[in-house]
Amino acid sequence: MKGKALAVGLSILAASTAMAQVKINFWHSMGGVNGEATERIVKGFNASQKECEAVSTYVGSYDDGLTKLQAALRAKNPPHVQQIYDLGLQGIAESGQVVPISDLARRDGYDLSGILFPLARYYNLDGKYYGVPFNASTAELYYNVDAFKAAGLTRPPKTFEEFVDYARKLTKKDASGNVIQYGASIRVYGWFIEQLIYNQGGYVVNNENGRTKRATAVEYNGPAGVRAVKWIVDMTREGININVGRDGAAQRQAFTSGKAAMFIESTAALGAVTREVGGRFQFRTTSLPRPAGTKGGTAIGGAALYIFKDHPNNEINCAWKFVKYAISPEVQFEWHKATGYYPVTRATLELPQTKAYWKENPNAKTPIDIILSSPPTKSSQGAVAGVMPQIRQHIEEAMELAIAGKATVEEALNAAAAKSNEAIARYNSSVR
Amino acid sequence: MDQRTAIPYSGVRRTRRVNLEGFGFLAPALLLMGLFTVYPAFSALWLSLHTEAPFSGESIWVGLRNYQDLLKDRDFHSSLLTTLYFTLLTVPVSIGGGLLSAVLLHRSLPGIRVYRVLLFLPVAVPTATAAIAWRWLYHPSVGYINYALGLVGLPPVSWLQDPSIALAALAMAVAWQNLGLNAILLLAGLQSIPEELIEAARLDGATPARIFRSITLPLLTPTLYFASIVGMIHAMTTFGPIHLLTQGGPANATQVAVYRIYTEGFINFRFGYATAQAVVLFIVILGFTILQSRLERRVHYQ
Repeated sequence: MKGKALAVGLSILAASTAMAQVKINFWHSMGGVNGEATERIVKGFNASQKECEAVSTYVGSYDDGLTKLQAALRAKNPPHVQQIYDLGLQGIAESGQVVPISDLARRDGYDLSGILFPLARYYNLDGKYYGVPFNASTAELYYNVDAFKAAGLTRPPKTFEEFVDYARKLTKKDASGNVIQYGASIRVYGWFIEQLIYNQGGYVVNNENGRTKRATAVEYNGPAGVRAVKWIVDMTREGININVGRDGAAQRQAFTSGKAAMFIESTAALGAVTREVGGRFQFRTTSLPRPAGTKGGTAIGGAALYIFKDHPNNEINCAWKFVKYAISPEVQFEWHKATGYYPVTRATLELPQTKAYWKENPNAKTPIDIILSSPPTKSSQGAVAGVMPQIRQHIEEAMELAIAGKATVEEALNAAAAKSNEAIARYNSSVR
Repeated sequence: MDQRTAIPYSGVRRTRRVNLEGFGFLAPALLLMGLFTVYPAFSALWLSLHTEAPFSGESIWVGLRNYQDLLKDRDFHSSLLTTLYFTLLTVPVSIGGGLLSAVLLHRSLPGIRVYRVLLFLPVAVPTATAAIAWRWLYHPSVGYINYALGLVGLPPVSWLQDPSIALAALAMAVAWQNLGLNAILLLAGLQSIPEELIEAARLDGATPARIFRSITLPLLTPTLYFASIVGMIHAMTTFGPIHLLTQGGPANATQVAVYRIYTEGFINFRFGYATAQAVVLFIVILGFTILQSRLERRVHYQ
């Protein structure tokens, strides 16, 4: 009887301390395996201390999440923390709705300089961090080592020209002329074109990717963009790159089923590719090819965590605590292992367990090698413009027109650029 | 006079009381409809006269400018045409196929119930699940359809990647999903046709084809009429399969009006402009529905 009373008393006490906790809402866009890893971070945070409790909500894709944010801002009820993709940077920063992370860091002496330089470079806008990079990715080349061996190829292709040559060698047909193995499966995806432009030192938008001044026009229809789009379009029309449209899952499936020997994808897909291949063949990852004689580096992808205004101070403090926890070295190591995103701080790279993990999983280290060897130029810093999502659609539309043979690559890109420029002008006039 | 609709004569007061009672029963439905259909429709109209800066949450009155911009917007015009093509591709197939299936199902063959379930099954499958199944069926290299083509020595087809085929491929997937519902509707229609009429015609020496043309089909017209209106509205507002299979591509070949509204609103954050497009689409659908309702004159109600 006494025990029971004690238990009741304790549970009332527990409930009252739970009530005293500061609750913060965390919105994220991670589904599947990556979603489970995100939930583990939230649980870990809640267990790590007593005063704050993070409540996580999956808000759909990055685009869906932004839509929900728009609605929440109108209703004056934004989440405390939201994961927002790289492209959202300028729009979110200029909205005046976020608490710059740099301000919070300065206040309690938190050192943000441990963030890896390529990420710092991308997410710094006018000397400030509006959000803090959380899940970082990079585009890379995945290739089927067994298929390479069968075709007598011993190392990955480094240039566009070499890649085409490889793709021809890797394309196999049966007696009746049907393709049984394609050289590559590269889908229609604007992000790839952006990365291939940076790899040549080019810019997607003017004013050096919008980094010296606000972007006023696009430059993806310049020589670097034309070369990148032509490379993919020509291979597709020749039949050595299988055309899977915009579908990321179909692209991956072509590779993991052994129907295509090479493909380009984000490091974030490493977990899914490994699982789908299931050890049926060996595959490796490496940096993207580039046209011979060009120089450049890859920009980052992924998302950052932003903290929203219009919340009481104690809630903002909890939000900031959560963000610090999410990028702490051990948490980022577990995150890296589970997802294929790479760690955002140098401290994680230096952990002994990280080094041991890489020794056994060389594919997991590839993105770090790629991103740390990228020259620190304004090109590889990545483009900022308020309408990047729209720009991406225009590039994709141009690729499809060219693949269908309805326009030359130059014509299609110029038409797309005209639409993008109109959108940029409209955006710029709306923020001033 | 029809017995069911006759109200026993006892003065006007009684009728009014019946009406009030009726509205009482309707009230919850009317309230919900007002809240979730009528109110949003009017606020959409209001929103279409505004423009807004992303994330700032404020709306700026622009009058009819969004509509003026729409007049010049070629992408929007072509999306309306694509919507029309898509409707013409899906509705006849799903109704024709539904009719054929219903006629076959109407015969009492062994195991017919199993066939009915199988035919109706696609209707019960969520759109997203169906779309993902079609994604794999249509896959250019590992898809079953191209595999089947290969077995008979035909080259693979880029179902969703070729701009000249993608819309038809999508339409087939959608028509397949709607076919089951039409088949069940039409089957119910067939079963409600009095056996005596057909019996009498048969005694008069009418051929099965003649019976179908002169008795079955006219008595099915109410069901066909219903299926065509519902089918058209459904086709003109199809979103899920397009979002999951082609995202409006390749080269805008599957960019129907609804998908364009989605991109303008939820990717480009031009809410006012997107709503203006939605209003235009609403007027177009309303126009087609009114046109179709003229067909009702040819419908035979029993």
